[in-house]
Amino acid sequence: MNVATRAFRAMGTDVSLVGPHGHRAFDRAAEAVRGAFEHEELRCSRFRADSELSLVNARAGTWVVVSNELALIVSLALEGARRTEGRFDPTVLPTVVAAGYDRDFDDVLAGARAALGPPVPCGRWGDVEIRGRRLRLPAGVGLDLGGIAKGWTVDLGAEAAVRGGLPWALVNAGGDLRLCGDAPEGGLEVGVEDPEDPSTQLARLRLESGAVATSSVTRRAWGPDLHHLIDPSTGRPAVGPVLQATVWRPTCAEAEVAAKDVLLTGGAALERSAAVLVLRDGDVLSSLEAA
Amino acid sequence: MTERSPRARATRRELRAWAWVAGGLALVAPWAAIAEPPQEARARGDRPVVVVRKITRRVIVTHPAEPAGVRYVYVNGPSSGGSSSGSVVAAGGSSSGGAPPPATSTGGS
Repeated sequence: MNVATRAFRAMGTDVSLVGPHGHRAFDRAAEAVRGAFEHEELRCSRFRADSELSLVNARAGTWVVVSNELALIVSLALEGARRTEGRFDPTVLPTVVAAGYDRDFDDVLAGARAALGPPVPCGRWGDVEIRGRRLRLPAGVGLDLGGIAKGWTVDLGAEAAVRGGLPWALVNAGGDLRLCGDAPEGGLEVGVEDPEDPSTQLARLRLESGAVATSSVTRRAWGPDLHHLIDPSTGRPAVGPVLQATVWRPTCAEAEVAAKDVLLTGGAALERSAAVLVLRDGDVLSSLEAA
Repeated sequence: MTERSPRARATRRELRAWAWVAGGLALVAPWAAIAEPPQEARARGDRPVVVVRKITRRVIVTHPAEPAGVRYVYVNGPSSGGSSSGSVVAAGGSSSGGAPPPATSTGGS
């Protein structure tokens, strides 16, 4: 199948729009996707002092009025925390900073990070209060909306691309992707990268609708057992049997939450999730229907 | 008349001496090689570096957890979809065989 792709960099990752080749609305759709990422990065980045999220984190302990969009993203994150019994935790920010991920990841890799701190307990999501557009974080608590904000923006971008005139559109941000519109017959093939050798693919998925997100402990890693996926039950980077979890959900924001949940839960999560797990021992577990 | 020319044959004694020297060298040479300090690897530019890496993956399929808008594609070998006991063995990096590249990929971020 002939597809067109437009790629750019946003939210510290590679973003791409995939759509039908040669469609006259493709350029306009690509601009809409780029615009969505620029807006949401300014709203949700924890690495920008001028982002709306940074302003909220700086005023933890007091009520602040936030935009409708940020209120919605925080509500989605809190709902995800409730549904996963805290395995997805948006209040993990002090913990991930203590683990060494205290600035943009390119700078972390370059070694420009503060010394590691001791593990910091998380799990304060139940104390976050939100009433309409009014939001109050407990004192000393910070929100990290990185994954769910990216998933939310992928959803926004894919929907905007279809509204802009494409019959179908797939937006992929660092492996978290959403397909909108009338998918081409037979769906779109999505390669699943091997967590131990990302230059190879260990499987393919045929996506007909919805979203796929992948969480991996081998990405955004800056040392042995030092990576961005914090296990809220220990306050340390996760060290379970799962290296990578790829999960399907109707929306990318939901898939982001589910991927983290499944990665921490392990094989038992396959009873309730459409997912592909790659284990440390080499096995690949799948609960997807075969094509 | 008894003077030896420079190209005359060596005496038995000389031959025996040379044989002892050669035998001694043959005995010592392997130990000398072992005692040599390790040498630096050649620079990458001298010769292509070939990294051989093979990851064996065993795919275990359980019953589909829920209706989903995605399916698992087996390009190599038969599928055991829907079987809780089936398995397909695939070597990482070769499961896609000679199929055209996928539209996009996922691998964590």
